[in-house]
Amino acid sequence: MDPTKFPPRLLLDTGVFIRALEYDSDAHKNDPRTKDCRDLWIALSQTVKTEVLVAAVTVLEYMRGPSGKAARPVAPPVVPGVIYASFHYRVAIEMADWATTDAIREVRDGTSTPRRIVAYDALIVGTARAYNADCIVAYDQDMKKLAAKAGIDCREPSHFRPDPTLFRGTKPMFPPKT
Amino acid sequence: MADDGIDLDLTGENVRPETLDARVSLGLAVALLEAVIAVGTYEDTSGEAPFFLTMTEMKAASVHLAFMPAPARESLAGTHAFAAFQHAAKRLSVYLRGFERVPKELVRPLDRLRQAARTMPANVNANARLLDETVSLSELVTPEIQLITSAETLRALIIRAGGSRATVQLRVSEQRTSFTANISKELVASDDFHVYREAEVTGIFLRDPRAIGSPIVSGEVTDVRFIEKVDRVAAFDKWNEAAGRPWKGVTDIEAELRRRGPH
Repeated sequence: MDPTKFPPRLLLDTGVFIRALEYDSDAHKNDPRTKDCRDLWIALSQTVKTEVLVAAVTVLEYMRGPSGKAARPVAPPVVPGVIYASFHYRVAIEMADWATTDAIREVRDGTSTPRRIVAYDALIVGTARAYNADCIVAYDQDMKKLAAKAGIDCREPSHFRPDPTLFRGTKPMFPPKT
Repeated sequence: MADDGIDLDLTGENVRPETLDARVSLGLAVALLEAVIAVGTYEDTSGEAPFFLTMTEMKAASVHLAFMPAPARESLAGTHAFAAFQHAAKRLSVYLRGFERVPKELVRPLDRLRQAARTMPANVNANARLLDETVSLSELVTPEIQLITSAETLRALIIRAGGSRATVQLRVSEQRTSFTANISKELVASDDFHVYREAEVTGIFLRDPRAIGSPIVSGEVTDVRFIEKVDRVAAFDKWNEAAGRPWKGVTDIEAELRRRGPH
């Protein structure tokens, strides 16, 4: 990962957060997305310049687990650089600006996602905005649309990998014609 | 003007000692002094303010009165009395500005002060200087500002904690000034409690909606979890294990999150 691409404050979406923790399970060993999530998680832990926000909603999603497999009720660690961002009245007030019913419907239209789930995603985006996150890291397409509505940059974990053309000694395979 | 006492200034057009009803101006001064003494009494464990106030200055040019604290009893050290006075003066300013709910023991003296301020003629601006902070007594007639109460968890640096009524001074990155909140003695006395450490602080906080960013001005802390200075990747892996790795067998995590929804 390229730490120069890290903004001062970013929020990890639930999927990215869970993948960063489940990097070694059989279900993910060969998934390049999970490797990106894990590498990003490790790189973020090695810099003091970037704060990582984890929405309270994400902690809930993790704890509830997939169908029929809830987590044991163990509180997540409180460590430097990771901030649990809660949903409270200020988040609600800020969200009222952009997370309108029409906006949520617009994001949902053309997808198979129920509107209530988009509204749930909106809580995460709203939390990111109220906590002044510079960027949301997510794979979820609805999350990207919601982030655009909220005016927040949204990137996939691979965005933080070094730009290949910046590797020392490498040359562009197809140099531009002069 | 002294930065270590109280000044009361009454200014305005044609405001001079001979144009002002002395009962009104001195009534305001007495109400102010009584309010400081009441806060000093409330804050001191002995149940009695360890200081009284002496008049040090009275200017004839305008209406200017200055007061200084003195130990209430000879047995009391001057430094203790002065520290108690400083604390009382600061707390009075907090109550007068509406930054904290006024304890019931102080409602009466503060009401008396408001009433005394209300009896001042309209052309008089009454300003009390409490240590280095000036409070407009003329504006006390307006109702207290409505603070917003919000239950929140904050990442905060604990600067100071303790006192006979336990309080904790906190600094959060989102606002420039620190604030003081009430806390239980049990929390402060626990072995894990440390000052100059960062923590996740949960509580009911009061925010001032008039200022940009609605900063926290006071509150009550209900829980403190100190930051563990550990390898955070390892700490989360350990947590995932302790939680039973609920997501271990799920291949498409995004699809699973989408499938089950929020219920």
